[in-house]
Amino acid sequence: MSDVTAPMAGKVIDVKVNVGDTVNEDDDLIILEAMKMEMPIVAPASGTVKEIKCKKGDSVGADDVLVVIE
Amino acid sequence: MIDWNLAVRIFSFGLGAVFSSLAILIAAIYAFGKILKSIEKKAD
Amino acid sequence: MLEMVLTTGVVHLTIGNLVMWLIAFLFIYLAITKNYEPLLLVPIGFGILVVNLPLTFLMQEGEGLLWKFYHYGLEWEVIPPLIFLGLGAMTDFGPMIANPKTLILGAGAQFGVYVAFFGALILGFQIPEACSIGIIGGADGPTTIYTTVHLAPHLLGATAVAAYSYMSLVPIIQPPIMRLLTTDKERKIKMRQLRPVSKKEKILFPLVTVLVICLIVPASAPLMALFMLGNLFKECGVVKRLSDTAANELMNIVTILLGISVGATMSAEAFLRPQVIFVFIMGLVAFAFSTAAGILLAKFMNLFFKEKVNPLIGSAGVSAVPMAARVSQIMGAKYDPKNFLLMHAMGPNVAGVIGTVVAAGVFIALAG
Repeated sequence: MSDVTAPMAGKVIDVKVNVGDTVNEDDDLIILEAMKMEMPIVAPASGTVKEIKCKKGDSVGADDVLVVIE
Repeated sequence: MIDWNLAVRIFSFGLGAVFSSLAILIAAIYAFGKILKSIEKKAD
Repeated sequence: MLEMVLTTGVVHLTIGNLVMWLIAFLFIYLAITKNYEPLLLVPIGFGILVVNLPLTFLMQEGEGLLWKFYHYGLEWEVIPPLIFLGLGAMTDFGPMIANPKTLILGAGAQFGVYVAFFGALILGFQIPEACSIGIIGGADGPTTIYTTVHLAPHLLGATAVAAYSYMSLVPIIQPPIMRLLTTDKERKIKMRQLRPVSKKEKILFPLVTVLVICLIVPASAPLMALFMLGNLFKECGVVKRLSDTAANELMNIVTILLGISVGATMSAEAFLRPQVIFVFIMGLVAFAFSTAAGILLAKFMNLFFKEKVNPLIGSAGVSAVPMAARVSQIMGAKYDPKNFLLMHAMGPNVAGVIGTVVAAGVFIALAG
């Protein structure tokens, strides 16, 4: 199981997956906006999305857990 | 005619000032970071 | 009848005026359709257009409206420092305070300034002109304008437009140089997440910086003082109104005056000269060398430090904020989508602004 954390403070502008989805390594999970730039947060490894801890429009801090993958 | 002496002086002073001022700034940032930390420790 | 015709501008139009109209339309077109620095190119383009209308005398010394903007705004050195006030109120120095050694990359990226300086001298420019051309390599619009007004006001249109146009071309100019100078392994270097920076550190930073920089290079004081004042407004937390005004309303007001004043210096007689082409060529050389020097310095640092620096953030020492940092992020993510360089690149990026202001201060002190 692994936590996907925010690499920097920013705003969640899109959540690309749902709980239960199967994802492959490097698939987009979340689109985060910081410094007026959109950045995809990708899956660190293949697995199933167990939990999504943020939603569209949330402001997140660095190191906040965004998604849990199993 | 171009005063090459002046040109070389502008270059060496300029690059020297850029590097030395940023280097001193680095030292200053480390220093005040340390000082703040030690003050906070004392306060605890 | 003839007399009436002669009082209109039409019969006084020159080919040069028409060429400048085309340039003006091109700027406005690029701003609107390509979104290239629209906040500047729209007023600059319009300024060019109206200053190339015969008999309007908008730039007539002592009388013309645009001359007054130019004289009291730029020649009196009011506008560029006010822009720096706003930039200070918008800049987060946190990433730089968290990892101060990346500051030195902002110094490395000033190297292109001096390459272009010597290049311009070899092309036959005088020393003050070469300084104004070199500073384009700092990729900092207000500093370029400030330096040029001081040292070579007749080149203002060219250096300002070169600086702003290359800044918007950073995403095109930098990547090939970044690829050329880095290995695949280096591009994938991951950097440790930056530590959080306390509010006290952020408040102390502008105070310490203004002391250090202005003591070493006093001629940089007008820009540096207002830059740090703006940042103090932002970080101290008790003058949110001033900070907001500096970053928004005041910034917008001076941007309008800056844009139209720069455009107004670009009359056909002043701008359509072979010299201007050399300014643009040297400006590009400056950008390229600054990018390369930043990357090479990062690689050089890796020889000494245990904690490796991803050389892709070296190019962000070119002070185009935040375009250059974004390019570092995009390049890094291309080779490893799990790599986030944006915040690491912001350190050299804002350090580059300080470095460019210092370089400009030395130019003005020695060549002025």
